[in-house]
Amino acid sequence: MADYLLEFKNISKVFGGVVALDDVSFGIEKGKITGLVGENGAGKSTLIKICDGVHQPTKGQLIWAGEPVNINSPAAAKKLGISVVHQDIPVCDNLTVAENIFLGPKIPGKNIFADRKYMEQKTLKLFSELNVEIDPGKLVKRCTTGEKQLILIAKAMSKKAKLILMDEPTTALSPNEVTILYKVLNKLKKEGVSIVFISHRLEEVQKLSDRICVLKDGQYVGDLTKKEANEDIICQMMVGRDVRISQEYKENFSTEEEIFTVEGLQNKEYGLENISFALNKGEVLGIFGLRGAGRTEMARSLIGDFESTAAKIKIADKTVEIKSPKDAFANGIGYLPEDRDELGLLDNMDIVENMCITDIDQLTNMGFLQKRKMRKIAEEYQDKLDIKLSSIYQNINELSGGNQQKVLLAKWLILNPKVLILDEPTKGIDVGTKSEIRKLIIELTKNNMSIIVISSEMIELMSIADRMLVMSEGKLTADLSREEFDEELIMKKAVTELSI
Amino acid sequence: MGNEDLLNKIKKIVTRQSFGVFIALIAIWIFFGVATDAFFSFNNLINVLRQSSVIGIITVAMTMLITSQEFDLSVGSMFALSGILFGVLTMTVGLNQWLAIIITFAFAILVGLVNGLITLKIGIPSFITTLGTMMLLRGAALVTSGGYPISGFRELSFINIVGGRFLGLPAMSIWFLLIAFAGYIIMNKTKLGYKMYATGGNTKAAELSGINTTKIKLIGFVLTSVAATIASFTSIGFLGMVSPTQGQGFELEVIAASVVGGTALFGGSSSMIGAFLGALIMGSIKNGLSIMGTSAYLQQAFIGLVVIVAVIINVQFQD
Repeated sequence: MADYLLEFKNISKVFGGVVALDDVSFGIEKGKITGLVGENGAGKSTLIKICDGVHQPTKGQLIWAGEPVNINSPAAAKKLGISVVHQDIPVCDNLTVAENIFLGPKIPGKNIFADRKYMEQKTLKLFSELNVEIDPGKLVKRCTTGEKQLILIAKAMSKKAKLILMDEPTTALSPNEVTILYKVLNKLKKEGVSIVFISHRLEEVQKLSDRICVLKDGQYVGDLTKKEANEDIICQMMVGRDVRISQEYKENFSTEEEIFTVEGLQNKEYGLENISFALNKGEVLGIFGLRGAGRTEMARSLIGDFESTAAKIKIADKTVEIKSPKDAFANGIGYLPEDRDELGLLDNMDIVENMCITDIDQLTNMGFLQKRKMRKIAEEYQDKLDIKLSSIYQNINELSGGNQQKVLLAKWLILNPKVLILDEPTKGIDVGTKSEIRKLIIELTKNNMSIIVISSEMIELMSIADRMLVMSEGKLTADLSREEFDEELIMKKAVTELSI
Repeated sequence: MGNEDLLNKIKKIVTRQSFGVFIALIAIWIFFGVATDAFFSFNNLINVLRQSSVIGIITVAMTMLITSQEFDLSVGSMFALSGILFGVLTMTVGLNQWLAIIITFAFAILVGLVNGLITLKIGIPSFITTLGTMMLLRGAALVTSGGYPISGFRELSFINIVGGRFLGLPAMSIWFLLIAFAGYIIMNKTKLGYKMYATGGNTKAAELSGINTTKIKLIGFVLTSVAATIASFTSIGFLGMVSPTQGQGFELEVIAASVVGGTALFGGSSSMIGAFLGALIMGSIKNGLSIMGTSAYLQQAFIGLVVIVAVIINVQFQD
């Protein structure tokens, strides 16, 4: 019998009529790192929110250190020693690092006064225990995502947390920051803290976890020890189908015809220097770079969203001037942004409206929307991309991340652009949909579309790109053909400038 | 190295939220100093402070409420109603003045709680809730007073606390300075201020940290209502009377003073020094334009202009 710190006994959670968790029973071992995996919608986030006291289970019982408990609020969870580092990294940007760490019902200080000096000193001590260096007096809005993540971990530690649950902690981190995070987690484990680690990146879950628990469609599938686990088995448990990247067959539809060329793109503000490349018709061009390499900045400069200088852009031999996203679209360039929530989705509008917005001029008659035409288009693309929804008039916010991404993709496909720039198209979506989107990208090139895929997932890029550019510190450091793809080489090129 | 330190220090001062509004205030003062002979006399500067006081007292509380991401549009009506309530209790009912003061403050706390609970528990934006109570309370002031002003307060001894002069300053200004100082301490030194910044900066993050954001905001609503009541008492102390129509448009002047002082309208960021200077700007304009002999109508337009210009200046100094 394993030594469980927290045990789930027949936990069910129903929202309205939807079953999010269905009779889930398993335990989290004391002083171990437990990996929790499952596709989007498998119930991982709901489970975490039950631990955190945000949701209460509809049925079932939580057992904490052998005793039945009810966790009915975040404050109650904290009292037990449960800390959650949420996926969207909730911090107060307007406060300093130290202020964020000590934010809570019990703020240090005498009587009504808050003792900021004590907080800063204590923060320095926490950070030195974690071997990280962040100025405690710095405003959090000036921190990187990785630093924010570490701030939340330090915060959990400051509360003497016994159990830390982390929801997708590495999604937004650079490899360097991920390494620091791993070190910190292993250090905490040695000190007897139990950790639950949720991630879509199976490789890191395997590397880090002592035990991996798998959820599927709200049910507990089973667990694997570190020895038993390998990517194939985990995937099978998660989805019951084969979604491995390496198995995807890649056809090459690229031609010799240059459809889109860029010469000498500069952007001082974002440190972009002398970027030149050409995209062939029907090609999938991968752009790999670490966080902060300037990938997104380059893409947004290309479509005229960020001001850039000295760029000469040609579309099929014709020099064009792109001063705004509108110009880009008029010239047949589409851009799917990395940040779905802020730049992509029209919040609280339905799927039809989200899909048709880019082509709305074609879908109006004397200023009036042609609803029937819009519906037809939406239905056509829902079918083409296999978007799972209950109605095309459903609110976009109700869809899962993967399906939202498909809607956004459809929005560009409707315009039938010559060049499509996809910025992290599979970020934060489940493995099944990831694989579908990869297949779709290749499918599109078959029909003569030319696609630039920006990604920080190297394996993914290697599987779908015909050619790969590597970026580092605002410069292109490599232009590799598919035959030259090599993980080590690509990573070396991605950190070239950083090491100098 | 020494130079760099100095530059850093200067940069720190210049990028403080209150620096831009300070420059704006100086510019306004220079303008009136040049345009009139009387503006820079000692007596008139005290007048400026006095004319800023009523707005200023409410601005302090409003700044705290906006910092925690809510609004209160009912303060102008509350400014009238609390005075009327006190007047009716003492003059018409003949209640003991101290008991009447306690009842008036209890009523103010109640109004704050009603504003807050409707907003936070039912989930109506505070802009709408307090727009409603603004009209409701104004109506109540008019009904209870029959539309007439109430006077005769000079016979009551409480007037010595809220009227007259101390140390050469009008009582209302002393109250303003005390409240502004208290506001500064609360926002910068206490746990409550810390929690208000956190609540306004990211409500969800604050909640997940175990902060009761509803309670924090509720305190803000109570404070604006109470501040409007204190302001009303100081006004009675100065004028010796209260009118049911007084304070119309104060809510916007107060919000303007706060915003001019660098308070972010969406919460999480503010400066009490800035808000204090913002209130002084409002008083300076009213005073200066009166000395210049411009019409009251023009004053309105001028205040509007200054609000926009002052905010533009303020934004320039922030990084």
